[in-house]
Amino acid sequence: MFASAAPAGTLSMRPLARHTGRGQTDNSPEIAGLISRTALRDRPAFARLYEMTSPKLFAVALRILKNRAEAEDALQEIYVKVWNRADRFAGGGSSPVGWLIAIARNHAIDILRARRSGHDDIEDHGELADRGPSPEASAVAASERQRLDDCLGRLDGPKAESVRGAYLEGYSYQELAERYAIPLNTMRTWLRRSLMKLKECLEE
Amino acid sequence: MTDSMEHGDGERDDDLVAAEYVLGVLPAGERADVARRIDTDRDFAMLVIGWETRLSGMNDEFGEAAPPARAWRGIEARLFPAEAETSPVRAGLMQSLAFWRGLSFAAIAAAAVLAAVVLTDIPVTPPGEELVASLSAADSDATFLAVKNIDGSVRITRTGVEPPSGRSHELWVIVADRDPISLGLVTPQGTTRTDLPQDIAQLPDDALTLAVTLEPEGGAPEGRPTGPVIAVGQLKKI
Repeated sequence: MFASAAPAGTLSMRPLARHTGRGQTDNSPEIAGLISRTALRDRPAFARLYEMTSPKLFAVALRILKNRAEAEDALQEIYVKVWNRADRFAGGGSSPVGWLIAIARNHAIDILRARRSGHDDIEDHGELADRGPSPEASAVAASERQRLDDCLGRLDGPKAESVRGAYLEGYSYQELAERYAIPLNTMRTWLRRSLMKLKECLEE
Repeated sequence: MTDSMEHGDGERDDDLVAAEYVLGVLPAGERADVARRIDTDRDFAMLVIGWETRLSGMNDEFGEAAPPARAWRGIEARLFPAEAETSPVRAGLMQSLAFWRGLSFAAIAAAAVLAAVVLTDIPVTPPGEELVASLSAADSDATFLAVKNIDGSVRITRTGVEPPSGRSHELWVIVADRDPISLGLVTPQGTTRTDLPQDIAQLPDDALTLAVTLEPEGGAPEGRPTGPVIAVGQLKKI
């Protein structure tokens, strides 16, 4: 049964071609369907979901954890969460890949925060992940990215940089405050204002 | 800042905390507090989803990286450890029961309350053998109440939101080690009556789980669920 459907040895890492955004992308309906079937304990569907989305979620874990062994462990834990929480994916307007990425980011960031020193390897930007956005990224995803980029562009340089650093690299308030050599509370006020400005801009 | 703005400030603070959580900047203790709140506070969870959507424009920048094949084997070993020692059927059943038990815990509690409200809409049937399931899911406004009669029929009533236009609610029965079986569409209004397949109706009471998915209008085209599960629940004696 499952063993034959499982991708184990022959897993071809077919990359996730189009993603992000609000789900108006080509393979979003398929991924949403696979998540739903995973909620119904359909193991071949779960294997297929892994096959389609693990290159993306592994890249997220690598980027944030900056350590291959840790990222590999995290990836396994992330898909255990996906299996256990698949019933919570509501669909209807929310992007299935966005939902998966949120689980991956949250898990990787939780691991980072649990690290004792809090900033191991922070300067290690090694070539762990293939950084480039997928070349096939859809026009919809591109326009959303463009809008966010435009709005980030309206913030002061260091503020936009700290938002991006937090989201993409997993920097904490503490680390950001150290980077910009300002008190923690100032950093928090600073970033909170930036987030509100960002929200206003995106809602214009 | 005036007193009259207090309420608005509370909402704004929640929104900021949601933003900070999604961005990931909070220390471990605060993150854990916020994560608990997401599980219990629906309005707050919606704020979090709002920020996930807003910031998702950066998701492409993560790129992609193929994990090694052993990662998948590790996931299988974590999720299905009993597989090697037990027969597949038994392992599947155990795992499925454990899963549905966990899932329906809240649903059972809700069923007792909802039953009192909704049963008045449902034709009277002989007492004693009726089973009730309250169907719901986190992040979903769709809820249903289903009643299984002694004759193997199921009546289901929508208690939450209607399906969006152009979509239908489809009811499925889930039993261990089988594909979901469609019980047909749930009509948007009133109570829908449907019959369980005979072999399913004869299964032990605790073996049946009902789920509703959101499907294209008219139902899943190939008899397999294609849309998200918007509500699930286990049939229970009341």
